[in-house]
Amino acid sequence: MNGDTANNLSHALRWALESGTDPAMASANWLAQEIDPQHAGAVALLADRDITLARLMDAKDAFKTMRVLGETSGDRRLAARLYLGAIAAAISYHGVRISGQSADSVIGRLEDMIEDPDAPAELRHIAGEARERIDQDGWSNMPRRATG
Amino acid sequence: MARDKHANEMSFDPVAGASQTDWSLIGDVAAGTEESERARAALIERYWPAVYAFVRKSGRDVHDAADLTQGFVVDVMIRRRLFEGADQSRGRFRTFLLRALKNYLRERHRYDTRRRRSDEGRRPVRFSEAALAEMEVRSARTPEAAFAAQWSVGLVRRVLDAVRDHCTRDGLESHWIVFESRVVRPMLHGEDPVPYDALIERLDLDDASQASNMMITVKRRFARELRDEVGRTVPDPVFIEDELNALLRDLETPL
Repeated sequence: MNGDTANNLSHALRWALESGTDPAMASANWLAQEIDPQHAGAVALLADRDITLARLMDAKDAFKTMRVLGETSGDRRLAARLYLGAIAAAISYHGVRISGQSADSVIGRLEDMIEDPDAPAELRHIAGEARERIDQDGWSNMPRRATG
Repeated sequence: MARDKHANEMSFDPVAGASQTDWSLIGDVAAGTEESERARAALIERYWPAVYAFVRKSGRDVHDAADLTQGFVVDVMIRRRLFEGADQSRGRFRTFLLRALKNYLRERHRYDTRRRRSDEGRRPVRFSEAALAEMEVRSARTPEAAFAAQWSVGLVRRVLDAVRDHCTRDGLESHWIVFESRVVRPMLHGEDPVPYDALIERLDLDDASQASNMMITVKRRFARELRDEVGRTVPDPVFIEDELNALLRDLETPL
């Protein structure tokens, strides 16, 4: 055990506290911290208007995987929202598509999330902004960046 | 304390009795069966590091701290039957143990006989140089923080041991390796996390998102097991949050 004992142990104890409150969100937050430790969690990461496109692509990939591998249906449902949130943030902040999905599919899912009372308010807001940006720029005029 | 004489033969097992909970071990001690002494030894192995950390941080040097710890084990844990007096309905075992330790140190200070403890040939605690050196008391701000830190180290190590076993049992060895490389070794040994690229190559993974999700899977198991383990040291699971917050307060107590 090195000199950072108390700090390191505090982290471990906080994981136990976080997972007790909301296990799905705790997992998503831990994933977000792997992508960018400067942010407190997944929603904060996506709500940061200064986030780079590369970070958003990493987030999209991570939440896409969690959407498949999530331990519970709650994990997978949250991951699906965050996955869409990353796509929406790329559109809203950078005017770039990072998904290969069709315009109809993305627009339909954004509109669903805007109306989804169970989705975090910040994600609903990002979805609304993305929807407006699509109307403003035009889907076909937005460049597409491929992800893994 | 025959530290020098026995240094080479002494050992420290941080996960002694790991398969049993605190309260089930305490129950075995109190039952007075043939299992009692084994259970008592397991509890002593489990908790003497926290006792030592508190005493050491209270201002004693290494030798006095080891001597007082040995005295507490012999006089209180064994002779005064500390574990037999623990009552799950009356609160946390950690609090009970710390109260008994503080009383013992006051008593020793008051009467300060300066005589070496006679353990009548028994030496229930095997202090190794490595174990003493490993315990970090310098970074703790208060004796209570040192006690909490060492207590938490014991908790975390038992939980890590259990999680590793469960991952092996469930065919998640690669998941464990990612977690160990990214979380455990940095946490316990201050090492830099192994880069995802290296783990992807070593474990033949698809990409970083797969690796990070594998890490999260085990981290979640760890958090769940840690909650369960803490739950075994409190009278009721409803106190798990309180106990975790209390440990955090003790660890982070300002000067």
